[in-house]
This record gives sequence, C-alpha cells and structure tokens, in this order.
Amino acid sequence: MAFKGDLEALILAVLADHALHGYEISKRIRSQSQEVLKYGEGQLYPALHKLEEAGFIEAEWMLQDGKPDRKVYSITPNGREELDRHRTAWTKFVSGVGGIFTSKAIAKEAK
Amino acid sequence: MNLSYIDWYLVEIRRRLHGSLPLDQLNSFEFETRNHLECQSEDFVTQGMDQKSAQIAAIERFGTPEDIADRCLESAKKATNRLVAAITGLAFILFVLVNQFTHMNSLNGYSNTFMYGSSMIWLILGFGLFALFIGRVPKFRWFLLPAVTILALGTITGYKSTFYVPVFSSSSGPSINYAELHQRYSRLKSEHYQFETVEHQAAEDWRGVKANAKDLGRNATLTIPRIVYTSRPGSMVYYASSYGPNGEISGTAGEDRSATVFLDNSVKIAFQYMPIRKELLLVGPLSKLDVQKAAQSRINEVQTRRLWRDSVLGGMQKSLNIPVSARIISLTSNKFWQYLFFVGPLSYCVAYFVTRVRGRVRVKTSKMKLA
Repeated sequence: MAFKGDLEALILAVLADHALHGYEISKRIRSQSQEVLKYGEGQLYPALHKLEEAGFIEAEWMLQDGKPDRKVYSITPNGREELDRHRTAWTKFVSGVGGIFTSKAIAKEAK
Repeated sequence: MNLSYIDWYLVEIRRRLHGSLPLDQLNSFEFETRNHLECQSEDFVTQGMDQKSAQIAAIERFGTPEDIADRCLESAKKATNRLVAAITGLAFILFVLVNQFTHMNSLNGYSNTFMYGSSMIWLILGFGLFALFIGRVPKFRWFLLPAVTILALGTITGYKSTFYVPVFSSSSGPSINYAELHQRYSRLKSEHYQFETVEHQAAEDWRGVKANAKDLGRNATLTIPRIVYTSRPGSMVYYASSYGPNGEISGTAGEDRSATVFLDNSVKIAFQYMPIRKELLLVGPLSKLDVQKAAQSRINEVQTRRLWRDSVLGGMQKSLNIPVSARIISLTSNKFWQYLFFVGPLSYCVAYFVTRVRGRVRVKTSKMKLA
C-alpha cells in the first residue's frame, strides 16, 4: 500500500520550517530519510509546480550576487493545512499497520 | 564552443518540449533544471568525482529527457484545459455585457428593470463558472466594475431597454409572447409564399378581364376563375384560406359569400362568390369602364395585400430580433424557467465551497530581491 501523494507530502514537510530552492528540497528529502526515499529528481519540479498551482506553496525568485537567480519555494497557510491532513493520514496508516505487525509478533512470541 | 553534458541534456529536453510549452515556462523550467544539475554535480565533485562523471551522475539521478518531457507536457496539458475553461467563462461574461449594453435605450426603450436584474444574475453565473474552472475563490471585486457600470448606465437611461420581457409585464410596453409571435411569424411567412403565387395568378386574371373589358348588361355576369379575396362595404377583407391542387380557391376565411365594393361615390360593383363552383362572378349592369375600374381595383388590392404582408412580416421579424437571453426567458409564460436564474447564485455558492474546502487558492508568484 502506497502513501498517497507521497512526494507532495514530503515536499510540504520539508518546506514546513524553511523556504528552500528545488535542489535543497531534494537534498533534504534524501538526507532526512537517510537515503531511504529515492526517486527520479526530475519528478520534483512537476510536483513543485503542481503544489504551486494548487496554492499550497508559493515561489519567489531570489537574485544572488555573482550567482544565477534561484526560485525559492515556501509553504502557504493552505499548504500547512494540507500537510496536517497528510500527517494525520500517515499516522493512522502507521498505527494501523503497526497494530497488525505488533499483534502478529506477540502471537509468534507466545507460541 | 564546448558544450557540457548538462547543456546537451537540456538541449534534448528543450527539443522535446519546444512548441508545446509557452516560452517563458520552458525557459523557467530549463533554468531550474540547470541550477539543480549544476548544484548536484558540484556536490559530486566535492565528494571526489571528476567533472564529467559528476555531470553524468547528476543527469542519471534526474531522469531521462523523455521522462522529464512527458511529465512537463502532462502538467502543461492540465494548465491549457484550465486556460480554455477560463476563456469560455470570460466569453460568457462578455456575452452578457455586450447583450446588456446593446439593448440599453434611453429614448425609445421599455421600462425593464428585470433585464438589469437578470444581467446581474447572469454575471454571477459567468464569474461563478469562471472561478470554478480556474480553481480560484470568486472575488467580490470581480463583479464590482461590470455591475456598477450596468447599474450606473441603468440609472442614466431610466432602466430602459429596447426589448420587452412579457412575463414581468405590467402596464408598460406591448404584451408580446415571443414564442407565440415566432409561431405566427413562421405561419405567416409560409402563407406569404403560398399567397404570393396565387395572388400573382389572380392579378393576371384581372389583367385579362381589364384588357378584354366590355359592357355588361343587367343580367350579365363575368366569371373570374381565381380570386384571392372579396370585399364588402367598409373594406372588411375576406381572403382565401386554402387552395386546391391547381391553385383554385377551396375556402375563404370569411363567411360572406357576396360583396359589394364602392369604386367611388357613384359606381357600385357587386361581386358574388359561388361556393360550389369556387368562382367569383362580376354582376351587371356595368359599363366597360366600370369593369376596367373593378379589375384595376382588384389588381391594386392584390398589390396592397402583398405590401401589407411584407410590412407585417418585417415588423414581426424586427420584434423577433431580440437577444438570446430574452428569448430564453420568454420561452414560456411558466415561471419555472424564471427560477432557473437561481442557477447563477447557486453556481457561485458551489464554486465558493468547492474552492474553499479544497483550499485551492492560487497565490501569485512574485519577484523579490534577496535582502
């Protein structure tokens, strides 16, 4: 069973504390998941644009001295609400699956 | 010119997307991708890779050009659909505005506040649908300019319009049922062509009578094979209501079977209609001149009748030349159709709740200089 809308949810989670540009978002997803979550990084930008279209994140161009401009994304209040919905769904999913695994393990130990 | 692997990679992506995406969108996407790949390859270099290997590894991690292009096109297609929907909504709003402004009339219009009210509702419908399609919460300020403009012009013109809405009629304006008018118009138009042919033949008959006119004695009669109508004193017109296969009259609209026409103050001509023979008799005594006058009178009446029908048809056509919205609301006198106007506010509410609940509030991207 997949966690529905996982990449979008991960992006929102990463952006919850900081405004970040695309590469940094990708880097944080990898590092914070201890390289467990791997995906084609090309998927990141369509997902970012989709979230931007939906109004969950907003983008600003940052001009940097001597370096190329960067598009920095930050989460909106609606995005935070969406993130909370994802968190709740994920918590329910984990507790549900965890409950099954735990009961099976207990039953095995009892045998 | 030395192109890096990243350059080649971006060329491949651009080649696949060229013409399918708006240029600024394509440039923006390419810019972000380049940034990403360069940052990634720099990181690989700091980890000990050489420049070329680092670029290749960054590209591999990013995905194949085909894959990237497909994803971009999929997202662009959705955006295009939204654009089409938005244009449709705007076209609808423009239709309402043009319709409204075309029929404002301060001089000869009818007092018609309903049209102004209904325009507001149509506008709400248009903006509601527009908002629904583009996934934004409808804003009150969207309505403000068109609504204030319409109401201001309405105030100036005294809320008059060049067309009349019968369902809400009171004492002002003619009582017109557009559906009925349309039916009458269609009927009259088809009759017009039918009468045109027969009248032409009848006029020809009378021309023959006029050309061959001679004195009629007291008991003499002249048979006219085809007639279009007979007249009685006071010029009440009775006209043929149906024709046989050869153009002969098979019925008249009036009950009177005989008629007398005063050609002038002194001469009286009697016609007698023979229902069984379906013929008209010109009854003597009449001088040759009177016969000629009678024939000319019939020819003139045919012409007058034709002109009258032309004018009636023209008038009806003018009355029917009304905006589509007025035709829709006057389809029937049943007020049920009027309630359909509530679809407007309803669509607004639906649009509002759908967009609100789903949180689809689009936030504009702005350029900001890093402080």
